[in-house]
Order: sequence, then C-alpha cells, then structure tokens
Amino acid sequence: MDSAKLKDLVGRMPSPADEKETPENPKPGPAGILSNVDKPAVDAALAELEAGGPDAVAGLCGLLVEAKPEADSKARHAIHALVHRAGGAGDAKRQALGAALAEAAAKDGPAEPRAFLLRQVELCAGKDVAPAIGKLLADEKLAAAATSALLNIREGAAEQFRAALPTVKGRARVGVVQALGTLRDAAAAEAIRPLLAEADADTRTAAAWALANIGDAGSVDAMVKLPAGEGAERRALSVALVLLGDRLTAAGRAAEARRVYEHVFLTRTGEHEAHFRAAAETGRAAK
Amino acid sequence: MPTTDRRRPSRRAVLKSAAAAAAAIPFHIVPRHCLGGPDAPAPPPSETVTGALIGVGGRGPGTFSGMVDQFKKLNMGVKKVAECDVKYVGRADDKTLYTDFRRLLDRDDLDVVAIATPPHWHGLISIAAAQAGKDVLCEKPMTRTIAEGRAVVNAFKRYNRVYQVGTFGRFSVSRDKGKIETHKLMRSGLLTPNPGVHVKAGGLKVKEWSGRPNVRIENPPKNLDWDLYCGPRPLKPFVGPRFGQTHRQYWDYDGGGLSDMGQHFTDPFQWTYGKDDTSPVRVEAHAPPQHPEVTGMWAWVELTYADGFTLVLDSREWGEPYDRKPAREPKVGDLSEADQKKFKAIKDPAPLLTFAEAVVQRKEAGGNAEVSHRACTILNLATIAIRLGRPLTYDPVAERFENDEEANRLVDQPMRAPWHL
Repeated sequence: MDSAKLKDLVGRMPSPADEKETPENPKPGPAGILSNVDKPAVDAALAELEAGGPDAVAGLCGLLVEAKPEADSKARHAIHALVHRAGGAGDAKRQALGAALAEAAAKDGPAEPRAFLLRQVELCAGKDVAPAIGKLLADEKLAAAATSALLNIREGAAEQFRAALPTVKGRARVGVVQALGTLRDAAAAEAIRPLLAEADADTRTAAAWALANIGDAGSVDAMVKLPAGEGAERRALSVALVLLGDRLTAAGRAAEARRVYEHVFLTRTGEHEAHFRAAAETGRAAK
Repeated sequence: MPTTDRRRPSRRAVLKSAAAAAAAIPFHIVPRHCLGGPDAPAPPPSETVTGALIGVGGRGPGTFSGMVDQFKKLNMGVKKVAECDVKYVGRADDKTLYTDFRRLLDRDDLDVVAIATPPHWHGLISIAAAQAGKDVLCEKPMTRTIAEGRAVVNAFKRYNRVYQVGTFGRFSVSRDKGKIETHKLMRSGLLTPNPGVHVKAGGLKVKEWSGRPNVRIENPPKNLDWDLYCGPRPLKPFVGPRFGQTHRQYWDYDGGGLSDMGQHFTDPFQWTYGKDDTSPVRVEAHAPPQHPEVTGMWAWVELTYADGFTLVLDSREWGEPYDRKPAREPKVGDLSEADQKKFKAIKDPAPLLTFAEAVVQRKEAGGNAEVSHRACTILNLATIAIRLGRPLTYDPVAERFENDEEANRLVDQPMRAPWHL
C-alpha cells in the first residue's frame, strides 16, 4: 500500500471534536473528545487497511512517533482497531497480525512506540512470537511490556522466562520471577528457590509468592525456615505461606500442607496476625 | 493446635465481644447505645474503631465520612489515624501521612480502611488490606477487571474480613415493597423462560468521561509518585488528565462513565432482579472502534442472562437508541395460577447489613465482595464488548468467555511488577 493511500486511510480515523452548543447539539460535550464518530466511514477505512495486509501493518507501525500523542494518535487508533477486528476473525488471522506487530516491536528504535506495539501483541499474538518477545526481557525499557505480552500469550512463555531468569536484573527480574509464579511453572522452582535469600526485598517476596503459587512441595523446608521479617515483608511471606498450604492441600499433599499451616499458626503470634492464625486453622481443617 | 490467647483484649476483641453481646440479645430488644439519638451517650473509646483513607482526592473524604456516618448510627466512632496518597511526596512522614499503602497497612492499630483511589488500584489495595487483617469500604467500580474482582472475593473469604463497595442503592431497594416482590419473583425459579427486559437509559456520563487522545506529554508534578500511581498498569508518559478525577477517561485506570457510574445502577439492579450470584451469558454492544488509550462513545450494550432476562444499557449519547426489544418488567402475573400460589408462600429476604453492622457483627455486609463483584462484572463485560465490537458469549461459572481468546485476555490482564494478584 503506498504511503499516500495509507495516510489517507489513517486520516479517516476519528478526529477530536470541538463541540459547540447548537439547536442540534443543545448539550455539547467537552472539546477534544472523539464524540462525532462516523462509524460506517471508520469501519470502511479499517477494512481497507486490513485488506492491505502485512504491508499496511508495517506502514502503520512506521507512522508511530515517540511520546507525541498529537502526532500519531490516529495511527495508534488504527492499529488497535485492527487488533480487535482480527480478534474476531479466528485464531489464524489474529495470530498473523500478532506476528506482524511483534516483528515491528522487535526492531531497534525508541522504546515507547515499541512498548505500545507490545501491548497490542499482548492482545492478539500466539506462541510463535514467544522467542522474539523473550529476547526483549533483557531490555530494561521493554521488559515490563514484554513480560505482559508473554503472560497473555501463555503458550511457550515459561521457557522464555526461565531462559531470562539468570541474566535479567532489577525490576525486570522481579517481573520474570512473578511471571513464572503466575504460570505456575514447576520447572522453574529450583531456579527460584535460591532467590528467597536475595538481598533485594522485592525479589525475595516475589520468589516466596511464586514458589507458593506453584505449590512447590520441594520449597516447604526453605519457606518455613525463612526469617519472618517485619512489616510488609512479614505480611507478604505470611500470605505466601498460607497460599503454599492451600496449593499443597489442593494437590493432595496433606502432610506438607499441615507443616506449613502449623508453622504459620505457631509463628504469627502478633495480636494483629490473628487472621493468619485463623487462616492456618481453616486450611488445616479443610478436606 | 492451641487456640487460646491470653494477651490483653485488643480492639478487635472488643468488637467481637460487642458482636457476641448483640448476638445474645433477642432481636426485638436493642441496647440503648445502639439507638443513637440526642440522649445517647458519646461512644466510649472501646466503641471506637480506627480507620484510614487510601486515596485522598476526589471522592476520598466523602467515602471516609460516609463510613463514619454508618458507625455513628450504631453510636460508635471512627478515629482516622492515617491517610495515604501518591501525591504526598515530600509531605509523607509514614506516621499519619503515607505515599505507599503498604506502609500504612503495616499499622497494627488499624481496624477499617476506606479506599478511594482510581479503580486500577481498587482490587490490589482491597486484597492487601484483607491480608493485613483490615475490613474495607472500597469505592466503586469494585475492580477494573473481572479477574481482580474474583481475587478480592477470594481474599476476603480466605481471611474472613468484611468488604463493602461504596454504593448503597441495594439497601434502598431491599426495603421497597415493589422491588422486594420482583426480587422474590426472580429468585423463585418459577419464571423460566424470563421475558423481562430492563432498560437503563442515560445517566452514564459517556461524554463527560470520554478522553482526549491528543493531550501533550509533560513532566509529572514533583509531589506525585507517578510510578506508584501507575502501579499495576503500564508506566506511560505523563499527561495531566491521567491524574486526578479525569483518570476515568483512560482504559488503563477505569472505563469511562460506564465504569464510573454504572455500579450505582448495577448494584441495586442485581438485587432487585435476583442476579447477585450469576452474570450475563451473552453480551453485545453497538459502538465505534475504540481508541487504545482514552475511553469514548458508545450507543448501547445488550446483556442477556441464562434464563432469558435482558439488561440493556442505552447511553443515549451517541448513535441511535436501542430498539431491539421493548422494555418489559417481569410480573407475578406472568406465572401460572399454580405457580402464583407457590410464589405467595415465599418469605421476604432478610434485611441487609451495613458495613458498620457487618464489622461489629462479623458477618457479610449487604454489598459484600461476591455481590459487588457480580455487579461490577456487568460493567466489565460491557466495556469488553464495547472495545471488541462483536457479540460475546460468557460462562458465569468459569468467568471466562467462550471461543474468544482476545476477550479472555481482557478478563485477567497481566500486571506490572512488583504488583500481582
């Protein structure tokens, strides 16, 4: 699709209105909102962009400008609308668009537009793009968006997070640990367990929660031996222990669950921790 | 495991004993101090709960004072010991003023928390408060996503805390004779298929809370912790309207007027039409393609329940009004004569407990987490349908869409670390 045609179609996306009071519009809305939308015209423009295939998608991605909404809002609107249209057109079309957007997101360039594209990938892409997105976990500016995209893609995501865990740092690492916990990836438990002793509190609590959500029986010993800590970290660990007990119970590992619940009951003795003791009691009583 | 605790009575123990005393009294005899009124003594310190407010702008002060009023009716007091807001950078002392709610929840002198942040924080802070042993009054909409709502329900159940959403219309309808009859009819199971169609027309502030897509990026104010404000949502360049009351205009934090105002309607609607334990199974919207960042216009949303009952949200602010099905209230006259006799034997439901009553009695509040989640789910289903632009089928038990992967990716949206459900 030639650039003039592309720009013409993008230009047909809704424009902010400058609402004025008129007999036909006695209660004008705020200025600058997308209030006067000709849906059939917009749908027709989107249909043409859709028909333009990967070339049109690449062209749209090329119109993105870093952190300048006034310059590329319509292009972003078009990309997002195409994602939703593809979402209703079956897995093949949805994932094909996801692959095209992932390819654009993987190209060198300013981070902010690439993060926008990753948020679209999050909605539509399939497992085929997981390796390409996985590489972006190492990019501090894109790690959060890449993590979210992989979590929603789900299939093939755990391998990417496991591969990234040894090398990512800081908040990105917290995100990777949490992601493995969200996916309940048992294969990651052994790699996560040493992080219970990390210097960084966010990493420690992420590791505890992840192992708990995975329901890793092999981590019971390490978890009950952790220092209880104070304040928010103590609370986070208490929550993780109760969660671990619950997951073990659901998995039929009653003995390990009992050990966790009893540990909570005996160690969470503060007046303000009665709810943890109660949770441990009900956990133990549940069948 | 031992269960005795010989420490001196805590505030919580006093609340429990008040509840035990209340339970021991026959229902028709009310202790004098519960009646309130000009002769009632001021609540003693043992009948004062300590509270905190998280999210101090906009609705915040009103949310907290509304909570105080509830306890006042029980001749109890609420002492505010702390406030938390992400705009307190430079002012926070981590003693009475906080920027980080986790530090506030560290306090072991806190009984109740009022939450009035933007909605993208409602779920996480409610859950954190329950995990910290606090009871919660949280502003509407209950949560930004369906998965967050279910996580709140689970947390309050697991930790046996009291939750109430900040909208109270169900209390009024639950005392209205006509609404009680409708409620009983809908709950009876006798009206199947259900021919009812309820239309909510207007009043959803669609234009008022539509966003402007072209606002220029600027630096965040120095007193605002922008990263913490964004929290579980992506960290994006700051534009002024993303912060403050206009957060409603951004999908990242809310769902426009529908999400902002909708639960005031869906909550009493659910009670009246007996839908507190389920959700619609089909949802379809008529709307233009939505912008990725800012909320926009929509015409109507049609939501259908498994028994055939239909709810229509008709914005009357864009496009043509809804005209697929005429509005029609379900009536006792719709039943056969035999079923009408069965209906007459159905008793009225029990009165709903206010948040304050629930805190004292350690029971579920009228607007508890489960029913609030179902009321909010209507809004979340509607906004997903508006955004995706196609009919959707929903399983209210699994709380997932059927055969629509993209829709399911909006049910449970990944959170930015270190935040998670």
